[in-house]
Amino acid sequence: MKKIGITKKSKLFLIFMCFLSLILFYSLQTAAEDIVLQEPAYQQFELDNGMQFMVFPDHSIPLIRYSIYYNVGSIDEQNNQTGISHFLEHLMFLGTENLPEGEIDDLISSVGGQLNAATSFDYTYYYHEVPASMLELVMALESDRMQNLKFNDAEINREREVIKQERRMRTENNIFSRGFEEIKAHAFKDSYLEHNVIGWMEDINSISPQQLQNYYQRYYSPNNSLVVVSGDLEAEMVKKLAEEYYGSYQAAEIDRKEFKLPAQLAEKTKKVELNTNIPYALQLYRIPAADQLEITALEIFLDILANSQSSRLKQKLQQEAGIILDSGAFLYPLRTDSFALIYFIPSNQNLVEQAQQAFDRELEKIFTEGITAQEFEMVKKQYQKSLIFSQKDINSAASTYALNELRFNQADLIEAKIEYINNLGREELIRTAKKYFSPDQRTKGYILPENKGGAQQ
Amino acid sequence: MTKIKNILFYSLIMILVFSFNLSAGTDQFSPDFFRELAEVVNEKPEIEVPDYQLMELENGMRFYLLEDKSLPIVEVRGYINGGKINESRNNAGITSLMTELMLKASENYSESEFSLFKEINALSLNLGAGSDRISISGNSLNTETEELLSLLAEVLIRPEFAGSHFARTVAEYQQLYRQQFYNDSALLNMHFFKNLYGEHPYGYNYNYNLILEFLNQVDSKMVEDFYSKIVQPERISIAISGDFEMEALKTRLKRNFASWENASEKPAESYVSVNPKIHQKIIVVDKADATQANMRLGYNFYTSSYPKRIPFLMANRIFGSGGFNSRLMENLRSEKGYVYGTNAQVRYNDYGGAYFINLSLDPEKALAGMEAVKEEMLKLKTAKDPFQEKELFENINLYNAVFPKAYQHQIDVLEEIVYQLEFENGSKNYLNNFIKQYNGLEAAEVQQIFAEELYPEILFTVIVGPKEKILPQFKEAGLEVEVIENPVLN
Repeated sequence: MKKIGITKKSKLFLIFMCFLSLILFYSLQTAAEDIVLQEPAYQQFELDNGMQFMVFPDHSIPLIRYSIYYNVGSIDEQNNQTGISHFLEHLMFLGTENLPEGEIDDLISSVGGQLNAATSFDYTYYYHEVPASMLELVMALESDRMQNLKFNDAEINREREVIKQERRMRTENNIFSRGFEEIKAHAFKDSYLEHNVIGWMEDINSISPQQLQNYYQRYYSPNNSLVVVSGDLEAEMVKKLAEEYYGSYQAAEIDRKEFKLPAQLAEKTKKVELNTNIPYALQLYRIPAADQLEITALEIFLDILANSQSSRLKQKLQQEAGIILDSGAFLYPLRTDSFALIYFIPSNQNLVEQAQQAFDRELEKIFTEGITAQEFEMVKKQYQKSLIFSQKDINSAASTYALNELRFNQADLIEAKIEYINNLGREELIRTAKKYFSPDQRTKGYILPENKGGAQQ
Repeated sequence: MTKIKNILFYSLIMILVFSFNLSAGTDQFSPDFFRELAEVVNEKPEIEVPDYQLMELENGMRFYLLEDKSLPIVEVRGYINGGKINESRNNAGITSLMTELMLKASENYSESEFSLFKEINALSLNLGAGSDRISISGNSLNTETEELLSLLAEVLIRPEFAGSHFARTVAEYQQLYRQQFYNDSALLNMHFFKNLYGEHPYGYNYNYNLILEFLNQVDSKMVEDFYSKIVQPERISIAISGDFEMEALKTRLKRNFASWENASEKPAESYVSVNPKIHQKIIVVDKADATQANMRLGYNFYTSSYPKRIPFLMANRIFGSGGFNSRLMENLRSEKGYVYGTNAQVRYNDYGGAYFINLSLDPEKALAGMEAVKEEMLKLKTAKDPFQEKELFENINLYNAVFPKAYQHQIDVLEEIVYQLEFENGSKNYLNNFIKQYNGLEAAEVQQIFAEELYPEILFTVIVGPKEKILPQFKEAGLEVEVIENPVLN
């Protein structure tokens, strides 16, 4: 009869198993760790005319950032007036009935401040960064240009030339931007997403001063705006000045068009030939509005698919197969349905089709086989790290809360998103990704070298 | 009844007063009203010099260490003293290739293991190939400090250049450099700097043909040899700030870096020679598909040891590197509507700098834009329209306001201290000396220094754009232009 006992080899195996269990236990413990949000302290109030305010006190340096967001952007524009939101943003620096052209810049400069503005698909915002004692100055300046903007034909036409040059610089002479503009227009033809923020050149040429004035009167009202002040101040002072400088303004009726993307029944393809050596492959998909929690699952999915250094596309298509130079993905979350962009850069023109097929295979593989626990944890850990690092700058948190408030009256949407991530399972993540990244909802776009009759390298 | 009347009367008064108060702000808007609100002189800031510790290992590697418990993070910034300056005609572009490869794989980690290690621990680590130095930056949560330092050691001490990642990275670089011939900004950089710096490593680095020649024949041994010369412990200084225990960190640093030895070979360095042949020269690089003229005008400038850097900085802010109300922006954008943006830049390097003005505009307005820049320069050169105290005050006031923000975080202050002490012969109180100096400037002094260093008569100009639209205006003005046909494009 064979003696049953524990041999030296078995002992080593047991020790190894115990060690493995410990590691596994530790990994599971780590995996079970929830993402934690350190919510910034802020106060929020609304004037009788519907104008919203958010205040984020932070006394670490004697500066404030005063931002005013208008809930209007390129998605609100009419077909023959594309770029009008951005055009109007430029005019906001040309003076008011009370302040000559250039004076806003001069006043802000004189106090040691800085100002600028930006137009997006679904909002336009203006900001000042000034010494804390200058709150009243920036409040008064913004109050003035909310109601009293000047529309001078000569100045508007001169600014039109500046905007045209901005379009040449940012869009027309940048290979990716130029190709992307055409591909997106094809993907979202006859919809509010067809054109970019800068607008089409023919519209920039034809927008009239009267159209600009109408647009201003329609959207630049207190009930269509949100002021966010962060920095070295208290909410009480903001409240007092808000009443003084905006309290008498009347709310306006905002008549918005319907935002509905036409149904897409099958996959689309668009090829753009440009003067380039490197080809680009773009995949555009529809995504829901930014308040849908599923957006968070899509963000995580795209990091695992295309963004992380160890993402599937970078590992398989770039490092192992050498058929792409890079990959990446972005979501463009808006107050309406919007789009996601996944791109990869085939190593040369002859590899475009091969890279596309490899991309499709990787996508299918991830849909059928899922993601690993390690991939999921890596992205969550990075998410937690980003949240902690964002505490270095109060303005970063303030803008996140502000956009959620502006779009959805839900400043603390990020808390719901974090709760969603903490409860999100890997299977659900894949189900969500499959729902939005399906072939029939895709537009494949290619920016290809113009055919000059010779071999491209 | 009288009581009711009184209540009504006083209520009416209250409503009127309240209404008056509500509209008081908006009704009195006027230039004077705003100017009154804008009266402020910002206090001269003082940047606290942090109580850091300097640890130097026997191999000469130096660490500036500072505990900062405000967030559970650790941040690393530093420099390797060397870079593109150490390249030659035969290995142009090797610094960028080397730093890229250092971040890909090491003796202990394959490429995929390397990226996995980084991401599983949420580590960030980057190298930036500069003209005179390679910058280091990284961070992690405090719970991964050990992993961050371990990764830093892998990258600096044990990079692996040989392997499949080498050939692939070289192929990727070849494609990226070929693409530069299709990008108007890259073409502008190439033709401006390779002419300005001439036969000097600073120039080789913008000569994409030279870089492509090197990439066609490079092997991993060449990169490893270059690495051995440049990346040595005695050439490295690193700032670390964050949530750590000082003694424990020192132990970790010694464990990771103390046994690393220096190589004996020192790389050569030389100064830029100014080439007078490019003075007044205009080059048009034909890019037929461009819808704008991308332009740069400039000349050689001082090295980083130029003693009048601070007054020149303030002068240049007024002239063209400031915001919307700089003189160039006022003229070319606000008055003429030619440009979306324009800026004047100084680039200081250890062995020769550059001063230049950038603008992009409608190709048919290229000459007009060029003349507008010269016109603004001449107004200052001849003191026809000298700097005003108000202009200088605005910039000083701005710097006083934003300095505390720029150096709000300890790591930013510590990094500046490292740079000054290690490479500029500066003091640890450099930032406060800098603040004191710009606060003591006067417009006349700034005007004089700037006028002395402005040379509109020798401007070297490169324009990238469609020659058909650019050349006629220069021909009409009788200006000689050298046209470069972009071989890849035409």
